Amino acid sequence: MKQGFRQSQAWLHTWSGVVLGWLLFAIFITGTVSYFQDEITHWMHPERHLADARSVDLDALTAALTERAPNAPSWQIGLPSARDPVITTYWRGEGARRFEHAVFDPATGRELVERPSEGGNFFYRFHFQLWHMDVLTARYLIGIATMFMFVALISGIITHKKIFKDFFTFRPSKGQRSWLDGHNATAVLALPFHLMITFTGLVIFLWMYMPWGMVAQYGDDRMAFFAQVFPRLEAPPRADTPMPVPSLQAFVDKAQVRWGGEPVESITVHNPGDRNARIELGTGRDSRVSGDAPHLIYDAANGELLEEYGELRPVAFFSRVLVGLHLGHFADPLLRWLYFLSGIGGTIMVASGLVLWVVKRTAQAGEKPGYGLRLVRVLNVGAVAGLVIAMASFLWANRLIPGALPNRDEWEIHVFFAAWGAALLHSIFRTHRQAWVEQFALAALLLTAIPLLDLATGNFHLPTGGRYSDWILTGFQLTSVATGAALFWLSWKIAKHQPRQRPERAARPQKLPPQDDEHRLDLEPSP
Amino acid sequence: MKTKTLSWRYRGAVLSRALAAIFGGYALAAAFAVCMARALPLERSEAVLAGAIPSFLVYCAAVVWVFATRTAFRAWVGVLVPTFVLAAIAWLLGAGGNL
Repeated sequence: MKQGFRQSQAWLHTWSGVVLGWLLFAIFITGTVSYFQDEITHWMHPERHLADARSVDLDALTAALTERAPNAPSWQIGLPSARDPVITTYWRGEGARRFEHAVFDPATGRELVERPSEGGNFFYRFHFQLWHMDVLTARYLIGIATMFMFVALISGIITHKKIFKDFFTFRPSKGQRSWLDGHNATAVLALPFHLMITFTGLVIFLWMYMPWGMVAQYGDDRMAFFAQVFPRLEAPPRADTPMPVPSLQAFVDKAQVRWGGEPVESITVHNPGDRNARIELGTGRDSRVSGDAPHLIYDAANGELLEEYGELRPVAFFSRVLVGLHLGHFADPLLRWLYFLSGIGGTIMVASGLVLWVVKRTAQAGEKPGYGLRLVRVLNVGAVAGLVIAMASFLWANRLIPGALPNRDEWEIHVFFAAWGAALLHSIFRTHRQAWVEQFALAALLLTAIPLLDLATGNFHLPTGGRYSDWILTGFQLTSVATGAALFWLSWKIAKHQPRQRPERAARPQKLPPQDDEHRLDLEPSP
Repeated sequence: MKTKTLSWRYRGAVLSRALAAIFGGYALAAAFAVCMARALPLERSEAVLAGAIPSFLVYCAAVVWVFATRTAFRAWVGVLVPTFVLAAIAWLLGAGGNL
């Protein structure tokens, strides 16, 4: 019975993994790079590269916003941080549902006129709601994929009774065995990360994926639920008595004294330009794992502190800690890199699982692979190597599409999808190995050449100091080159790989257990 | 690509288990979430969260069990009976209890 249980789990693991494996790969890789979302965004906006965040002129900013959005219900102001050294502002346009936004040079308070680009936000959005499709549908689809991933992880753990022994086992150049060992190693190495990231991914959209408790207890009044979970300020209505926005720096100074020097990173001005204006201040989202930093609310008219909030109830706090662990906003550079590397591990785990699926069936199919196997091969290359090409092309498009082209931000994304489609077509017309080799080589070329691209387009800057923000651009370039070098190595390995497993099998057949049983669910009770 | 053809009976049983896992498992998790939201002695919003967060673990455990148990019939019974029990408790604790 025990054997039967593990076998059933192996079957479950194989199928739950492959059914949504391509989608999972895309989720993993875009999520992984999103740990450097701010850095990617910074690289993709050359206008920000010379901004100096060491001094912040809030009065100039207030004047600029008063001119830009005098009647907005509120202004949300993100102050510069090490990872994002500019001021980013959002406000709701009059009667408009969409938020408008503008970016300011901290030192001068002057608006930076930027070439439109989604920046790192594109990968970030793609990670949880894809693109070119209904946002809610996409989130449900990704929720299903995440649940499949969770089941694949748990059943994978059950399948490996020798999980720690397997982790230290790597048998290189042994064909299917090596893929299996690699799949196990990347899975087990970062297993706590994978379990955490998958489970917390479900928790983020809990209110969509498992709303029934909320529906049962609150009926249609979901807002009451959210108001209880996240208490927020209800700003009073406008008094319709004009009053200029007071100097924000005074409020920032007051808050900093109150918080013992912890930097203020967000300011929300409710009812700007009105007598009923409220100034809300928050610390950086990196100050706590849960991300729900304390907030202070001042009356703008007399500078009085009205409210301090941010303490959540215990379970709500716990849920925010889970979400915070997923988002990783709190992570210092070292931990951020660990997040990134664990994400890469997960990306490789999904990809090697997909490859293993093909390798196993190729060995079984012999000389004549069927239609299904050929389809999975084509989609594997397109979904894995093709997506890396598409992501790299997106970066190239950012540098090469002229700043004046109408809707250039959309064109960057068109390039992403066009490159992805071309890669998929390419893998149809080449042999399986040629497709892998050529696509990884192209992706490697695009990524290693990023510093040259910067040099050619006049965006190459050497780090000028020891601060994190000085290193964002150089760090981006070095990471691209390192990733490209790894892809070159991979491409070269595949190109010179000689499939040896068949003669080896013939020589030592007793060493390999029969593979067939593993993906056939044992339905008959074993005698 | 297939080394042996799979019987229709086998395919049907796998399909039945897949349905039991995906829909039955979700129903069980949802019933668990609602039951906890009503039963836990916490504030309303807290109990909702405290029921919903572990419900994904319940879902996962249900899927694992559905594919591990001996027959597809047992899989269905094992998922649906606790679902109905939890749903009944939730109903009694909610509006149903006042009837």
